[in-house]
Amino acid sequence: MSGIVKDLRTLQRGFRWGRRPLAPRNVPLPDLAPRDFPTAWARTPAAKAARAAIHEAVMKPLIESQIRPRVHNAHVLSTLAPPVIFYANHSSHLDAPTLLLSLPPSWRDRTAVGAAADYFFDVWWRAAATALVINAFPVERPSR
Amino acid sequence: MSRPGFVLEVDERTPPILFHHGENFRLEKLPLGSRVVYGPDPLPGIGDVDAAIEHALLNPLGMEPLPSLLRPGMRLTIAFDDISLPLPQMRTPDIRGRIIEHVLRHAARAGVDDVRLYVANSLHRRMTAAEIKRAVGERVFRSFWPDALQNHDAEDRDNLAYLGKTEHGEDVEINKHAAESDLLVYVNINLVSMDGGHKSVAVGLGSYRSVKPHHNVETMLQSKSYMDPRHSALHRSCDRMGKIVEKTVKIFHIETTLNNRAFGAPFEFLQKREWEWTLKDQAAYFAAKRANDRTPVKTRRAMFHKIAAPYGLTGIAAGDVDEVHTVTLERVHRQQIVEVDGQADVLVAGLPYIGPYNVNSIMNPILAVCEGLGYFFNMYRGKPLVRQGGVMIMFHPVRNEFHSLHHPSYIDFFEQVLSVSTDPETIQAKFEQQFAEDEWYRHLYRTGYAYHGVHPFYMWYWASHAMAHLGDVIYVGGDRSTVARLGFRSATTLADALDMASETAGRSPRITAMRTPPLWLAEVR
Repeated sequence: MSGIVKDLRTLQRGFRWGRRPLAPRNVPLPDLAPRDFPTAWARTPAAKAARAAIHEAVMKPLIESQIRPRVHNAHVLSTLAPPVIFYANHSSHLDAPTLLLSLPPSWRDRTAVGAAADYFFDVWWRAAATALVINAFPVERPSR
Repeated sequence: MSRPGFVLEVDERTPPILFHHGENFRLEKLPLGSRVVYGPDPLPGIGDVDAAIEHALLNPLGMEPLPSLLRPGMRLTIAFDDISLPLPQMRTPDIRGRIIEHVLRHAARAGVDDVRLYVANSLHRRMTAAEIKRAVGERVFRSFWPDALQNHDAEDRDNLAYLGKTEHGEDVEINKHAAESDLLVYVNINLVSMDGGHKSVAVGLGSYRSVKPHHNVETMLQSKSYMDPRHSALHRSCDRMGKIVEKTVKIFHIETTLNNRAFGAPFEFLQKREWEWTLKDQAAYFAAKRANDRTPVKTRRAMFHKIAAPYGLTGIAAGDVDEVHTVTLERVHRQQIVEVDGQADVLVAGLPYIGPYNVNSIMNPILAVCEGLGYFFNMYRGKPLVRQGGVMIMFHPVRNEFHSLHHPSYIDFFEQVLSVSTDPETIQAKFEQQFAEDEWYRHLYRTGYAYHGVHPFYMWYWASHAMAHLGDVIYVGGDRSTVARLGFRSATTLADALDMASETAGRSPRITAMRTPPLWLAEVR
């Protein structure tokens, strides 16, 4: 391998070109002042309709192409009176969409997802996409 | 408030880590779980440097203000640190020249006519006229060079004064003109905590006779480390000598501290932590690496030695040697200390193109040993970064290449001494005196630009603590036969080196990497 290719490959792999740069885990996050990320628009009727379409046309086929979700004890939902918090054991970024898509549409339409502000709301386009697709709101986590 | 130092734990997110590799760099992926130590960010520099200098001269510690020490008819000597500091050289105007100008202005106002300036080069090579001019500035150089501005000559018997012995029997001999002065002003740059204090005059203006008592293997083995004056036999010896000097001549000691901003554009990426590299930093690294790979070593070396650091002055103190040095060490520590928990089995470091003894010169194999096993290994307080019997892995080409003008005795040391033994004590007993008193080396030191004949021995002794402490030493990328002559091993890659190290450090060693620049000092708990 030529030196140029080798050096470029080292940089491309090491610095995650084309992917989100990540700091090593024990690096303290910078103490940034909390920022406001308006997400109320993502709960308007138009956004809800767009989200439902995205779920049916994109998210559901995508998830089902990767995993075979099985839903157990969904009947308990009928015994609950909102507000309710659903917890995922967060083992991947698919947790939130899988959980959302496993809920009956009447629950799904009224479920918002808490997402890390520093990760999902760092730039406007990612914030907008996250808010639209999973009805997310930002959660600050100033240190790890 | 600048950011403190940091110990990174390498995980799968960690980008490759940058290491110096002589006149080049390399990015290395470290095994998961390794630790990487980063120095604190640069402290802010003082805005009005001239005001700070003037304030220090007029408000000294433990001594009267400088103007009250000056009078017509007196003999004033100003000595200053040589080219071994700072590293890399600082951007002009050099702080030494700025301070000297202030001192000379006060001397002129007081009517002092008899002023002489000395480079405190000890047994180092003489600085060239151009190098001196760069350090003291054009005005001072034009006014004093060459009659009243000179290199100190540690072999000029006519200009050495024997001041006596310390209570430990150490001979004290320094520059006669300085010793017979009414006032000796010393101008220092305290880059690391080894520098300054009584070492400045006792060593800088000393002779072989007075350097020998502490530049030896026994002293080095009792200096743990020599970057920590509290636990350094070297510094205790210099302190004893300094007391003798102070009985002879009044010293107005001026010490300065710099921040650790060693590299500016286009090499700023060297100073940054890798996960903070922007695309621009990555491009700068790539461009520098590619240019280096395609450029002959000599050209590359010349380019690197032209780099001047954008250091900021973080402090200046003047007055009594001990009082000044206490303040100086606090300032050095504020900039450089990083707390590190526990020792490693394997210590990894990248050795740069420059060390104190190869400014505008070549880092020959003996200097590469001194740089790694001397300076890098000793950058600790408390305990060494690596455990007793551990392994040190360094990146450096270790070429069999010497600067014949600057390092003639090093060539013979490599060929004649290391071929017989690499044991510091054996070398000291068997060969030191012969090299130290060799007339040809003496001639080259006095009339050319050669380091003193004994200097390569000191470089070897400087590494003796590390040699006694470590179980193995491996140079990655080092010339195989040259490294073998030094008594160490070489490896082609870091993976190979770690594999070799496993013989000594085990299959799953704790690894600590020293990430420089910037320079730092580990407080190992």
